[in-house]
Amino acid sequence: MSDHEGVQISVHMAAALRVINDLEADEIIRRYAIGGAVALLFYSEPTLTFDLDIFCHFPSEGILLNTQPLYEWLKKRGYSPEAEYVRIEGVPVQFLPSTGPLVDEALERAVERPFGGVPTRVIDYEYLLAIMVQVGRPKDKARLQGTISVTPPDEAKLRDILERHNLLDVYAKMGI
Amino acid sequence: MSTNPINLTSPDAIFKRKEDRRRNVAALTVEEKVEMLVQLQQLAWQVASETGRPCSSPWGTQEVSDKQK
Repeated sequence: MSDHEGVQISVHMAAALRVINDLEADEIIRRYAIGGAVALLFYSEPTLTFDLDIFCHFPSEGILLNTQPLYEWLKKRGYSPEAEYVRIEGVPVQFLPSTGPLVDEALERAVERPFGGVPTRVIDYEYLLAIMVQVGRPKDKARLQGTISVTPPDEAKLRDILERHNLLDVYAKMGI
Repeated sequence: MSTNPINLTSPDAIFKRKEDRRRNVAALTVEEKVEMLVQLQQLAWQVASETGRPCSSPWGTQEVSDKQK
């Protein structure tokens, strides 16, 4: 399993994570964690995605986000934005700001996990599921159903998160 | 009469094996699963290319994705 140059793709991802760690060390972004379908890989079976979602806080958060320092920092290192993402070491990375209390809490409680020898942080499994409930797109529902059937969550923990963020009814209506 | 060479199995058994395989895949290392993810991306990209559907390019390639062209 390799890319077109015979290099394992996980080497690309590890290199991308090193760059993202540098972004945090240089305080261009604040506390980050891997989210979305790539985060699910740390807990369950692979599902198709083309983006590495990085949830993070930005130093100047308000009504409008100033992403200029982020893109300037990346550009200096040869990584230019392509539409909604930046391709870092061959991996399309999307930097996503927190959208509210649930993501804030998920970021705060994200867990340290190494990838290819590189330290990184990943959103905890039950928080990932809760975020999918909150986002609620058809693909989130499909992923939730598939993931939960293969990797059952800690029910009490998931229920607690959903309850505190007023998502129990939404989850119940999903019929999962 | 000769014995039937076809392996008879129930649909339930097939789906049970499928579920077992999914659990086994879920238990692989995250690095192994990233390699599998890229295989999925390559497959999706290939099928899309053949059918003329726009699709992002697999990780590790530097081409601009079709959706941005």
